[in-house]
Amino acid sequence: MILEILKKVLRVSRALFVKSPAQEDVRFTKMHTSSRYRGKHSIDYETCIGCDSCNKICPTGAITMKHLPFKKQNIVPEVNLSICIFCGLCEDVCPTKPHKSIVLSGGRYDMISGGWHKDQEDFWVHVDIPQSYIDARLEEEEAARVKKELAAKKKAAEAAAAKAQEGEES
Amino acid sequence: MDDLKNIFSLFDTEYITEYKTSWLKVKLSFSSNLLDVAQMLQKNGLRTISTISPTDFIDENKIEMNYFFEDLVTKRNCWLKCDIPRELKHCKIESLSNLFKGALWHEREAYSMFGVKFLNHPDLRPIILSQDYYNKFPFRKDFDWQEHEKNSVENMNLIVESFQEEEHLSENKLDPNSSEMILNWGPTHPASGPIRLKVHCDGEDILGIDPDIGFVWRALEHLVTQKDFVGAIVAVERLCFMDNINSMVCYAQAVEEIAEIEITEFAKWMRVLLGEVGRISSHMMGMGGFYNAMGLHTVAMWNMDMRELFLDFLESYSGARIATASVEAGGVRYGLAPEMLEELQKALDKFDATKEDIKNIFINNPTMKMRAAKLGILTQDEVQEYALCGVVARASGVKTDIRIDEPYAAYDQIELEYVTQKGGSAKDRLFQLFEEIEQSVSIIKQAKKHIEQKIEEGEFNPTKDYMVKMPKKLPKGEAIARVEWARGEVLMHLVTQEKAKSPYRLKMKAPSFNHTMMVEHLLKGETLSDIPLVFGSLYICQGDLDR
Amino acid sequence: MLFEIFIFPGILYILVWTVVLFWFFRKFMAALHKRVGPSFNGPAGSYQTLFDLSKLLTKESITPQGVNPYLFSLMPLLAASIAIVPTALIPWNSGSTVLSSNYALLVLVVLIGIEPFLLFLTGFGSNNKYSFLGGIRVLTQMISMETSFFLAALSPAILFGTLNLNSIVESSSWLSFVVLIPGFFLYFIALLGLLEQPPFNIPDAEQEIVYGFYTEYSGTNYFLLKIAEFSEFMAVFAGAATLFLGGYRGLFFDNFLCLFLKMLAIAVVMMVIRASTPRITMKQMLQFSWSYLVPLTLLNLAWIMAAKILFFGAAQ
Repeated sequence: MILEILKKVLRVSRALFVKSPAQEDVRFTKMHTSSRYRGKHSIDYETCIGCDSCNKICPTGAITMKHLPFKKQNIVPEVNLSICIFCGLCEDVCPTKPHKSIVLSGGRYDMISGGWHKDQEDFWVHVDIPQSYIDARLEEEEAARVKKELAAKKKAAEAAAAKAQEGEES
Repeated sequence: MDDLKNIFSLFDTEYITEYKTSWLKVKLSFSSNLLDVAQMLQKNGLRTISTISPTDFIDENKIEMNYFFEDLVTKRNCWLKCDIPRELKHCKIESLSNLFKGALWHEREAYSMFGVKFLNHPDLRPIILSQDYYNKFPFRKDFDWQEHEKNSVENMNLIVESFQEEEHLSENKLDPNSSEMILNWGPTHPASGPIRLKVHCDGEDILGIDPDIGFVWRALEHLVTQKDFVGAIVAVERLCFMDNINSMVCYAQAVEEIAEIEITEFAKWMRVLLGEVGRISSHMMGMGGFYNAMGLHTVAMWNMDMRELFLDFLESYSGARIATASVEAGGVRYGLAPEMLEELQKALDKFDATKEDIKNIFINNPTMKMRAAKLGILTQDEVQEYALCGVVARASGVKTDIRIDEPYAAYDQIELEYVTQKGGSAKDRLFQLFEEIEQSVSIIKQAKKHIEQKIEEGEFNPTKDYMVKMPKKLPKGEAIARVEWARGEVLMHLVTQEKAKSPYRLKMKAPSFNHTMMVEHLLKGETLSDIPLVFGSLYICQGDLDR
Repeated sequence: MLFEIFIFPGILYILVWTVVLFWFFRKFMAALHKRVGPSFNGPAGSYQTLFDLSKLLTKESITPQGVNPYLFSLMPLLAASIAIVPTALIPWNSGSTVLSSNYALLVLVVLIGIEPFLLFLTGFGSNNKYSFLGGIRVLTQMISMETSFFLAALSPAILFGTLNLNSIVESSSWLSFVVLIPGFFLYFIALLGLLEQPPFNIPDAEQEIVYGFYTEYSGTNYFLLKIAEFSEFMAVFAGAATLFLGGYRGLFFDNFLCLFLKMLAIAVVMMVIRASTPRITMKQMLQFSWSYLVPLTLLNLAWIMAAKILFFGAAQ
């Protein structure tokens, strides 16, 4: 029996010559190369149509919708990463084509940085919309509104004219 | 089957139907007949109660009891239902745990969650729940979770107080002249995980053990009902995510059955492939856990080393290594790319290269055999009586394996045989784990070959037909689905209402619950050194113990 | 004298030995486990144990409620100082023993033998069920393992007819080495039991009784206990190398380095056993010790006597 144990002892030492994935130093290389790797979200506010379906499907309620000062498409998702479980269902349901507006596959894996309490507090994916974009959108909406109003006025004028004509005829 | 039908012809029943291949679904008209029926079923060979699942129909003012009887030998099963009134005063039914020992804890669970009183139950204490939920019956539909959460400070205090009181009481009960003492093995103990075994011991000898469970109770069965059918998979996979895939397969099957949808052949094969990878990664941890219990960490580390490559495959397939969320009702969530199968091949090669070393050093280990060969022996009778399943049951020589008994996914097209051991000791359970890994590897090889072949022939389109469209709303119905999970049989009982967007009730029967019941039985009269070994060999995961 | 007390083979040497051996254990175990072990701090993680031990010194030492604080804190100090003393008796280099005594072997064995009782008292004084069980286990294991340890250590003394470690080293030869092989083997097994190494790591079996007698210790007290443990390693390894493997004498040159390499070799074998053999239970240990190990050591003594008569001509 002691001989048996000795044999096992010798065989274990063969592990010294085996290279294993744990022995690779990955401090300076990318660990996860899968294109489907589910990491930090990136949210495209330009294509997002504000349909709210990512918020509805999220199983943990990690997504909140941020309100924008527009009339249409006026919400955009923001993700609380300390609640998120990275299941990727929000990406699955996102209806925009050809690119999804909320994407976490291929995302970053090194999300916690700094290690201070405030870094944890700020563990969010925020959507930072530049003022110029907001202004442009507002202008666009304003232009659309003006155009619509003009069209309505024109229509009203035309209708009035038509009525007047009708009145004249009768 | 006909014998069973003859039994039911003696009683008043609402309906008797055959269900799936091996089930008989019966609803009794009167709950008072239950004990007699159960007695006759037991005489007929159905010696196992898999689980007991009450469903609270608040609109109809009734609680429907579901009993799942199984016969592990002839594979005849019976799904017995009966109604009992919902008011707490009259919510009573005869206990079956004097006939079926395996029902002991399941009845306690039904009592603590739904308030169903079991008459003549030997030990009807609440289980799983913490003290603040006692006598509130949280799974009843009228329980207000938000209201309960509001008083979280008082609840915490209540838990602490009652714990101190209990400790005080149990210490005082001890005979001052004896050397008996109570040792808490857990919940913060290097080898226990979140479970507490109250060990009554005299020096090194164990006099008795009282397991205290529920430290990781997440109320998954309730959580599922709060989500839609797709989002529920993330709750289901957290049953225990060492093997998360098979539990999702089980849930998906139940949903598909209610929606009456047939998934594609490719998705079926993918479920086999992924499921076996999940099984391997769980079994490798199980072997590691077995040896960790004896203070030898090499096996765990070597297995982790191999498991890493299997997880690499899961990551390249689904984007996550552990919580993959990769199986949905309607198929599997992603398509397959050829380089993923190469990744899998790497893992298989690594396993083949390391297999002999593991077998030589750790399976045929004389020191391990010396300790484990005569410890924790479970006989075939005990397996049937206590409804044990999976690795534990097969290590005792019981031929039970859902993959063969009731083939799901593509298991009916795969060459598969029962792998069993004879002894039923802790050592046999380790052997069983290792042989099942080998079996899984052979299944993966078959599935991989088949998928590659069919893709080449153009019958499978791996980028398109992985998923069929599921309806958003499901009709009213109920279904049960069983899969062979890594630890054993998982039975899910899903109930939906009309135009349902989320499950009305999902009962998950998980194997560790029954296995933990055996801890006291196996350890009485042994020594303290045997606790971690027996506990580790039973292959218990607290995730599916508490749910 | 001051040099010997504080530097070599005194306190500094012990500290360096503890740090280096601790690091070596971790790194070698990691390689056997197919992982890396410490790797961030310093070259190949060599500063890691230094940091760990210095961290222990700066941590608060917690004394549990209801224990005698003096007994609780005195025991680690006593254990450490008694474990350091044997280094003075070992002939580290030719003719450089601090305490050259004709009864050096006897003193060495007695000092090693006292240690477990101190550890038992640490467990007994901790007012903790796990510590208490650990203490009792230490005691049980020591009583049964030390018998064979002493008997095995006796064999070179009988062969060479002296208890002086210097003369044992000087009179060792290839022939005596071969004759002492079974004795060395038995000494090694007993050593595993004495140092609580697998498969005999029963007293601090993590999975059963948390950390045995260590459970309640933290901070400086824990540091002292660790120093005691590693000094004991040194005493026992050095004893094995001196008694059976020819001490500082090497193949090409006689130096302290040879002794150190021999000790390291013993450590390596110990680690490999640790990586391949699970722990056995108390009952099995007792059975193994009393029904196999002790009779075998007695047989070994008979063999040594016979060999002495046959090969060394001591019949006159």
